[in-house]
Amino acid sequence: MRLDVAEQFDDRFQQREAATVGMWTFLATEVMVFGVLFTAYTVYRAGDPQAFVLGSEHLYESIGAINTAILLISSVTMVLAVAAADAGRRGRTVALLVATALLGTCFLGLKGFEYVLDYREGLVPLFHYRPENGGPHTQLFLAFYFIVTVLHAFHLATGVALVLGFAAAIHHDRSVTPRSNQVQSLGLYWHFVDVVWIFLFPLLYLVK
Amino acid sequence: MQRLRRQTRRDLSIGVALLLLLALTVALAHVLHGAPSLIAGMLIAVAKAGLVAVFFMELIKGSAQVRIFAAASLLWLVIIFSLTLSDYLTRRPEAVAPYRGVATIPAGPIDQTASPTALSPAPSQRAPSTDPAPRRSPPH
Repeated sequence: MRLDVAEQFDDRFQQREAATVGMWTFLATEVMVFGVLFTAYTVYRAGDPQAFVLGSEHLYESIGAINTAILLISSVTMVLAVAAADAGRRGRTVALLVATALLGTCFLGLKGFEYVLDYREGLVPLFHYRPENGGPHTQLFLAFYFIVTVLHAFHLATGVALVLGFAAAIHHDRSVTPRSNQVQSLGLYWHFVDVVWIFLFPLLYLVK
Repeated sequence: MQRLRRQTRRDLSIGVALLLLLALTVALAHVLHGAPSLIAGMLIAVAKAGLVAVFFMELIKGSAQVRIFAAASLLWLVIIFSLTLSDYLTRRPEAVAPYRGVATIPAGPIDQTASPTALSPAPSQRAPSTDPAPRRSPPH
């Protein structure tokens, strides 16, 4: 089916380029949001490296590693979904989008389970925190851990909702080609969320 | 069809490479400590992010315009980092960060055993802690 080219574009290549560049602009703002958090992390960690080592030891490294693997695989399914959309394969696109959303939900579920474990260990500052887990600098690390992972989880949950919405819409469409640009933009967003976690995992869980 | 199959094969092999790098970073974290651990972890993270950005986010087949927009996000990140760190890293130790030195937040015993860094003064220069002995048992 013909991909409709909107009036302001000369051809579908320019339309695709506009979608890509627009999404990258949004991702640049997101890079800055997480970037300042990483900057704060750098300042805090340089201020008291030992407290960060101590705080990192309290976290569940295996859960973090499994979650990282889940997100990496979800990026693979996402890029396969984008390729399928470009190739006009509607059923394959829907299946891969659903797989991506499923993996994202697994991540969120594991993260929630991990939060419960953290809370029970008394690792949440201000909420039944156990002082033997560490002094105020370690609490700074733990507070940072919760804030940045919750922010990341919000981004991931938004991504999961969008992916499911697109899967449903494409499932009911007669062809996937009109939406191929949208799927590609969504793919960029999903990969960005993955890249953020790629950096978060060693900085939070692997501080030795 | 052939193109899709070739691209699928390529995407899957990059996925495998990403998972191998993950295994490597976890393995190295158990072997290395301190600064080498941080450097190795960050290098591997950059490699993984690079693979995702170049191949999955299609920077390799994007136009120059797309690549410039992607690079611009890195540029602003560099600006954020360099301006902020140029402040903190050039402060005199006594004047640094309100949580060090004359602290309003009392430091616990574990925090006081931290080794001196560029941002924290040596123990002899630090103001005496006003922290009462921390509670050992949970509040309830």
